[in-house]
Amino acid sequence: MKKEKEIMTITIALISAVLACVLFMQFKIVKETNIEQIEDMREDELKQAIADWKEKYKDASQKLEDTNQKIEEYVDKLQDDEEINELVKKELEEAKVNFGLTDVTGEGIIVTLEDNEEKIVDADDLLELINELRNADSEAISINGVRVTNMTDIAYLSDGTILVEHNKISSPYTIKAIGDRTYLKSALTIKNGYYDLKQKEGYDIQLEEDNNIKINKNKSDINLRYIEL
Amino acid sequence: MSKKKVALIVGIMCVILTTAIVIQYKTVSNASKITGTSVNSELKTEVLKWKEKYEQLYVELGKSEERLEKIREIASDNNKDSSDLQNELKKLNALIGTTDVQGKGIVITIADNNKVTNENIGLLDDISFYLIHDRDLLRLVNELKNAGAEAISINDERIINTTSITCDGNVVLINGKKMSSPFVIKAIGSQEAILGAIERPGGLLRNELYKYGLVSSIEKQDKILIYKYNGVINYKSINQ
Repeated sequence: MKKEKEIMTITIALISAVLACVLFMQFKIVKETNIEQIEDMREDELKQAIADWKEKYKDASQKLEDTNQKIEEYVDKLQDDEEINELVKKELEEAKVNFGLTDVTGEGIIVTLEDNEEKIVDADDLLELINELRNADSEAISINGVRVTNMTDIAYLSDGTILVEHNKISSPYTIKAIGDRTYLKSALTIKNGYYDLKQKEGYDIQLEEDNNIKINKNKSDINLRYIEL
Repeated sequence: MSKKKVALIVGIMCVILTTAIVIQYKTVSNASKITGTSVNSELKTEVLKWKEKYEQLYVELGKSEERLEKIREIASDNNKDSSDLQNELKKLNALIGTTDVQGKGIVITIADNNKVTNENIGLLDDISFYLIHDRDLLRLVNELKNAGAEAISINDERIINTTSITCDGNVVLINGKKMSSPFVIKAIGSQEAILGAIERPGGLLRNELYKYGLVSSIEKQDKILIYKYNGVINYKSINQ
């Protein structure tokens, strides 16, 4: 009788263990799908995902080709100081474009925000707009002529003006963005998008497409004080 | 324990187990009802295939970039002009976010306040105040930039000039990658300036994040490593 009891206990324990495992596995599967997302994507979303990965692949393979070519050039000209100088200079120019230290042109959109009796434009309004423009793949942005870079901050001053990277600016605010103008426009003007919401809130906001926007370079001094190279 | 009791327990166990299995089975079959058509499964395979292809290529690109950096260093070593240019280039790449960087700074961890739930929340309170939103991160990053931070990452995703911080349902999207609470924000820069900026009265932290219990920790660190941007920057619309 006692032995039987023991067997029972063991059986119950085993069943409990199996049950726990099953639940745990199920939990894990659910969690993983949440991260991967792909499991519950619809057909059009899957197609979009393929297109996105293909695009990323194309960009990376282009970059790989460029990089390998640069390596070859350096190797070829290793003995020639002058040529090496030119090669580094060329790379530096590319980096300057990348950071925003050169004037650039291209198609895009121009957004104008203006203070009115109802609403005063503040730093967060501009910050949000820049974020929306970045989200719509804009490649160069300026606010009242100040080029926005990776280091640019936007701060609100108590006197109603705004500081963009130590440059004091005030209403009206003209934000230029270079990028695919159709995409930029549609991203901003969708229902409950930035344009829609700001207009409903009572802001003076305008938006126009332009096929040739010029955005000036950033004029700040670039200095590293805390990053150790 | 009587035999009857034991039988009862085993019986209940079996019922629970069966229910669990049935639920799981139903979940799986529901899931395949939505996406399980053969077209979709082909598309899914295709997505994974391209993702893997990209990831392999990206690793190769990383190696190539390292090689380029080394050869550039060797090549410009015995020439003052070139080595000055090279340093300038390194500096810019560090700021653009295309290289790993290291230095002094601050590490901030913020997270949803899970102690407040729909059951115990005050009548006039709003549960969304107790969650971290994309907007909080956006404003925090702006404050860090304002304090002169030279490199910033959120959950190891480097903030670069094209980075947007948005939300997609319950997750935050940064550089197109999904992430959720807790958020670890690393910033290289002056520790005093950053602490001064984020802790100031009227700032984001004091006004909102502390108030709702969203700040887990703020640490000064002398050797923060911030990874490079995980992706390829490719401008398509700008002309020079």
